[in-house]
Amino acid sequence: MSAQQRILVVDDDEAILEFVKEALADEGYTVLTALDGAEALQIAAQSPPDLILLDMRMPVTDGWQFASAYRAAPGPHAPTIVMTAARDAPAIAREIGADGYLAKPFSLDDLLEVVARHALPRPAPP
Amino acid sequence: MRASPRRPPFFATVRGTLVLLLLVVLLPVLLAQVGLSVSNYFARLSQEAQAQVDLARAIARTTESFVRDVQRTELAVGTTLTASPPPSPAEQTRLLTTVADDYPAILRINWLDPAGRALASSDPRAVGLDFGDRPYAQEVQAGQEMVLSNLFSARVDGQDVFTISRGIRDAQGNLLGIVVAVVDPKRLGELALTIERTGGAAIAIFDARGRLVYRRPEVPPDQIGQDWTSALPQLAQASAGQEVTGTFVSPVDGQERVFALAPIRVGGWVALADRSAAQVTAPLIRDLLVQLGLLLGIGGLGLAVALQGSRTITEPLYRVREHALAVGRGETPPPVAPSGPVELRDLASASNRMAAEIQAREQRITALYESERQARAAAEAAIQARDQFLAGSAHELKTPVTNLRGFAELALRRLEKEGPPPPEALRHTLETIDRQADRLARLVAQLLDVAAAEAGELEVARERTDLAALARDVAGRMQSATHRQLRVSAPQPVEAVVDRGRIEQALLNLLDNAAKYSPKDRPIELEVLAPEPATARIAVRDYGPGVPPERRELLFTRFYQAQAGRPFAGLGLGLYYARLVAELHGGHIEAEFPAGGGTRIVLSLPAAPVSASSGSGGER
Repeated sequence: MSAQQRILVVDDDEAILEFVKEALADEGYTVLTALDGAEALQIAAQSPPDLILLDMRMPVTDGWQFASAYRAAPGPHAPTIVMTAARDAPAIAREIGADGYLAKPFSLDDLLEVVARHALPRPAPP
Repeated sequence: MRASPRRPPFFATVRGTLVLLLLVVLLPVLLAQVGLSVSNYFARLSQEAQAQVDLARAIARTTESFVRDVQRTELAVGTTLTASPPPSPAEQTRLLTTVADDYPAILRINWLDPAGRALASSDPRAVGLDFGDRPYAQEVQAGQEMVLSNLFSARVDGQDVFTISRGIRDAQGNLLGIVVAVVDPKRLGELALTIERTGGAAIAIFDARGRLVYRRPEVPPDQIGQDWTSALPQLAQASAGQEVTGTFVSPVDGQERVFALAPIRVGGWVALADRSAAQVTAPLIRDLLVQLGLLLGIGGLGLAVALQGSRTITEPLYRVREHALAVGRGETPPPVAPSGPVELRDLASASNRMAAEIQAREQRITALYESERQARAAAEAAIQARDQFLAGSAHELKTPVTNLRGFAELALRRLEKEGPPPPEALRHTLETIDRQADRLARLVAQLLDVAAAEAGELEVARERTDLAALARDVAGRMQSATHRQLRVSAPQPVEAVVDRGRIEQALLNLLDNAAKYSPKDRPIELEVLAPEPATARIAVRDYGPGVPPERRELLFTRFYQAQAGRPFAGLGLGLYYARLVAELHGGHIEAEFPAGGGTRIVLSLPAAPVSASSGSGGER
């Protein structure tokens, strides 16, 4: 477990944000949350995450808009995991070039496994 | 008319059938007529032959009478000549001359002594000549009483003559002398033969050897004495005593003639009567030809009438045929004009009626097919809507289920790792789970309501409610849950008879939506008022981005999401449910987009005047 890895969670449902944040915080991750794509872009620009968990359907700036804007932005890009209640989660993940997906309702183990697998390792502080 | 690709056999056509019928009728008539004519022909021939027989008999009898008459005269002459005392030679000559003059056909009469020498004659040239070598003299000497000779050349003048002889005997039978009448055959007709009514027939007399003695119409003198036995072999039979009839080719003119032979019962002579066969048959053949011509004329006329008549049948038939073919090709030809015989008019009418019925049936089938197609399309749309509803419902339910599961698993994990949590943390967890469960329950209730409403089976429980108080209550709960700035304007009670729970849910949906689609720092406005006594109005306004004009139309449809344009992911049950509730109460819902930005959703319901008695109960 790499301490201090930063995970950005984007979802318009506050309860999900709370659950994911607490679950990942318990495992030692630093969790950043955003309620829509626009907010997420801001956060990602300020403190680059090591993994992004992205809901697709959100008000204002949705997952598709976020993904294309994030890819267009300069700098290193964190792996992205799609979190969706849609039936075709794998297709959506392929569509936006995501690295994996979590189909709602996912279990805690699924969440932890996917995050552990995809989060970029953070170089140890000098 | 259109030529058929393959010509049918002629007698298979109407025209051919008519011609055949005509032939069937005419042919027996023709045959019968021909048979009748042939039988007529033979009857007429036989009749003609009989006529010739009669004629020939008459000639034979006449000839016999003539011969016997001459012989009787000869007997008288002989008796006179042998009387005693015998007459003088001058008296003998005178007697003979007198008798000879009585018969124009008799050239002379000779009186011979028993040895055949001419003692006296009406012709002085004959006196003293010896005729003892003549067969007639010898036959008389041999004992015959009288002899009719064959034709021979006269010793006196070389003429072709024949003789009728009679021996004169005494009482003892001793020959005293022979009376010989020399007859000129050419003059037989004038004198002896009284047959005038020969009806165009020829008559002839032959001697025992078949030589022509006499003929009328007359033949050139050199033909007298001609032997006819080769041309008419039946002469021998007739000479032997038989009557014979038949046809032969006459040596006179080379024509075929119908003949009859009758025996002359003296000297083996034969009488002939004959008539040109052509002459006999000509009228018959003429009759036959006339009848045939008449029949052919009638037949031809019948044929012409049949052909013309067949056209009055076939023309209407062709028209009906073309009509039927056109109907078969699915065209809509104009009706056939009935023409021709009644049956064909009926046929044309039937064809028209059939075409009309086919068209009517086609129209019915097309209409049936169209309504069937529409029903199927509607059914498919309904199935699709149901599928969509199911997918949308599942989608809606997934988020609260994720949360429920997540918080529960998280609590368990913490329990295992860290032991029992402090009461505050446990309370927080349980409250969170309870909220999600409540959310899930509300979602399920709404989905069930939608399904029931779409099946027309949703029942509402109405009661008199102050909508202003209801709005304040809901706003209070919302405020504590979301910490959003919420401005409520409900200054006066607004009473309506409503299903309280469902109105609350609808209002919650509107507020949730406003919170979700507008920035956190912008307020949400809730307004309850009664612009007129009969109308209650609940309005929720946010200051979000609003809804693009092209999407406003779909705002209140099921699972619609204002910012779609992605593969469908359902939200939007909220607005649809609010609309459903409004309509269930006889009201309606509208979206407004004020100049100041954002969205304003207005729910209008029939209000109950304050004075009205409070009502309740499960009205639909």
